[in-house]
Formats: sequence, structure tokens, C-alpha cells
Amino acid sequence: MILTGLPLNIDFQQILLHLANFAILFVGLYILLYKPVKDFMDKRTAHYKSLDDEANEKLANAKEVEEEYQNKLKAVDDEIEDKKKAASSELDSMRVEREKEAKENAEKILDDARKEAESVRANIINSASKDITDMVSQAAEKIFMSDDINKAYDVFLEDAERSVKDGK
Amino acid sequence: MLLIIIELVLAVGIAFTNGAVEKHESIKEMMRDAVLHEENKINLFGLAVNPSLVAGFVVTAIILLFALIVRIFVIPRFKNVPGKFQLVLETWVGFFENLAKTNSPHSNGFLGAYIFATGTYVFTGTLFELFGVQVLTTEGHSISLPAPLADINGAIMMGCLSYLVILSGGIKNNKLRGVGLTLKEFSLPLSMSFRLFGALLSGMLVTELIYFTLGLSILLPVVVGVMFTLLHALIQAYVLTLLTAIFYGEVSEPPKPKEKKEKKSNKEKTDGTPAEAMQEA
Repeated sequence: MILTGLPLNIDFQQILLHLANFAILFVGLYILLYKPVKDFMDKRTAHYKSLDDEANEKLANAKEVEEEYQNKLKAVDDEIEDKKKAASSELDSMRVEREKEAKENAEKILDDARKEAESVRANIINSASKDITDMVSQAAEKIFMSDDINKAYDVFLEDAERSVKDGK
Repeated sequence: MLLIIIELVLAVGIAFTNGAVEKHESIKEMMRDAVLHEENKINLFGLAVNPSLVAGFVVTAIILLFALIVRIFVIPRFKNVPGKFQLVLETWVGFFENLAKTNSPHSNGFLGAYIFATGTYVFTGTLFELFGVQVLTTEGHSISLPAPLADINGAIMMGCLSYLVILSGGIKNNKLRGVGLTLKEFSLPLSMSFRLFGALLSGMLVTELIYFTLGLSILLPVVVGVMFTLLHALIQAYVLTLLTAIFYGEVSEPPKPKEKKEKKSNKEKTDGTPAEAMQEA
């Protein structure tokens, strides 16, 4: 050997033999153990990752549906609110109309009542003047039927004054 | 529980075999040989090699046999929810994969596989010395096989190979710049090799020292041998793979865009030239 006599008995032939031994071990271990186990672990990781992705996707879909549902609920709430407002305004207008109608009715009733009172009054006055006329004629009859003509004149004049005082 | 059983078995083994093996060398000779590998050689197909090389072959054969059995009988039955053994395998592979990904986020496919093999080899190889597999030397003595990387040749191979892997990462991702970055750390193969060699050797020497002393060889090796070896097998596997991953990540990182010129021009715009400043004053 060219390199004999190295310190610590270093022997290149044995180093190469060690190297060959380790090379065999490396290749063997890689093929028999490292690669199959690593492949299995990678495959399993990929499997669980796909499951995780799937779950995340489903979760995202569920959130989307929930959001959609919330939007719909909000839209329904808005619609209800609008309808409430419409009903309230309609109710207000109806109330105003009713009040107006009631007022008109009340005025009409009042007018009717006034007219009726007028006619009743007129009738009363008419009947009163007729009574007076009857009374005058009765008094005149009594006077004409009596002997004392002067008394008759006095009675007539008193009646006439009284009727003037009453304004009739 | 498993550790206790192993320790009990080893204790019984040590108690029965202690003194049965004839010591053919002194502690001084033995330690010198552990470092230099001058005396005890093993005949490998007519070639006299260090015991660590044979240990390396044995460890590789054991690991590959185990991997083959796992590949045929266990991996096809893997489930999405792992059982205990599957969990151990996944943790083992996942640890090195994550180490590569964390330290080299830009390029880590090959690095992951490399540090997995390296870590497994260092860990199993270091634990292998616990079993004390006996072989015959060329001189006819019986010795127990040491850890494959307790040999300077094995450690140099591992350190230099790691350096080459780092260099390949630099070339792959940064071309010439990557080569420059890797060559900048020229002491790396030396430091990695000798760190590994020194760490494994010192562990072995301490254990051998304790084994050699009769008074300490009854119960203490059970604790020292098993616990220390387990611990430094873990540490050495982690240190080597971590260093490789860190340097690989460093040299494979894409260059950052230069901001100095832009900053300078912006500063001039905001501050104005000195003449303008004078005029303003």
C-alpha cells in the first residue's frame, strides 16, 4: 500500500470497505424502511388534510347558507315593518275620515234640530195667535152680549193694548 | 421493564462468564490496541482487517434483516391509527425527517434519508458493543467486537461522507457558491471524524477499564455498560445527525437579496447630499 504508515493506523482500504458497508446500509434502509414508512405517513397526512379541507369547505358552505338565511330573515323583518307602517298610515287616514264624517253628521243633526225647533216655534206662535183671536172674539161676543157698551169698549181697548205690549 | 430484564440477563451473563475468558493482554496493551488497532486483526476473506469493520458488517446485516422483516410483515399492515410498534417506527423515521426539515427547510429530501441511515447506524453500532460478540483474531485470541465507529477508519469514513453530503447539498442548491460555503468549513470532516471517534472510543475505554478490574466487574458493568452505552449511543447519533443537518441547511440556503445598496440609496434620498444639507442650514 502506498499510504501505509499513516498515524493512528489509518487504512484507506478499510475506510473504503466501511464506506461500501455504509452505502449498502443506506440504500437498503432507504428502500426497505425509510421510503415506505415516509410514503405511508405522507399518504395519511394527505388523507387527513383532504378530510380537513372537506370539513372546512362544508363549514364555509354552512356559513354561507346561514348568512343567506339571516339576510332573508332581515328582509322579512323589513317587509313586516313596511306593512306595519302602511297599516298604521291607513288607520290614521280612516280615523280622520271617520271624524270628518261624524262631524258632518253632527252638524246635520244640529241643523235638522234647529229647523224642527223653528217649525215648532212657528206652529206654537200660530196656534197662540189663533187662541188670542178666539179669546178676542169671545170677549167681543161677551161685550156685545152685555148691556153696558162702555164696558165693552174698555175691555176691547185693554185687550188691544195688551196685544201691542206682547208685540203681536 | 425491558431495560431491567436486559440488565438482569447481562448481570447473570457477566457473573457466569467472568474469568472464563483468558486474558491474553494487559490493560495497557488492550487500551493501546483499542486506539491503534495494531495487534488484533481479523481475517476477512484473506484480508486482515480491524474488528470494527467486521462489527460494521454484522451491524449492517442485522439492521437490513430487521428492515426486511419489517418491510414484509409490518409495513403492509400499517393502520391510520398506529399501534405501538408502528408508532415506534413512525417516530423513528419522523424524528430524522423533521430534523432535516427544521434545519434545512429549502432542500431536505436526500438529507432526511441520509441522517436516518447515519443515526440508525451510529445508534445500533454503539449498542452492538454491549452484546460482546466474540470473534477469533488472526493470532487465535478471542476478542469481543467493538462498536463499528470506535475504529478511526470507520469514524473517518462517517465524517468525510457527511462532509461530502453537505458539499453535495451546497452544489445542488447554490452551485459554485455552495462549494465555496462548504470549503469554508474545511475543518469539518476532521472535527466530525475525530469527535465521533473520540466519543465512541472513550466510552469503550471506560467500559473496558471497568470490565478489566475484577472487583468492579460483577455488578457495576450492568449499570455502567448498559446505561452509559445507551446514553452515548443516543447522544452520538443525535450530535452527528444534527451537525450534518445544520451544515447542510447552511450551505443549501439560497442567497439573500442584497439590501445594502438599496439602503444606501434610500439614505441619500432622505438625508440629501452634504451640500444640500449645508444649503438648508
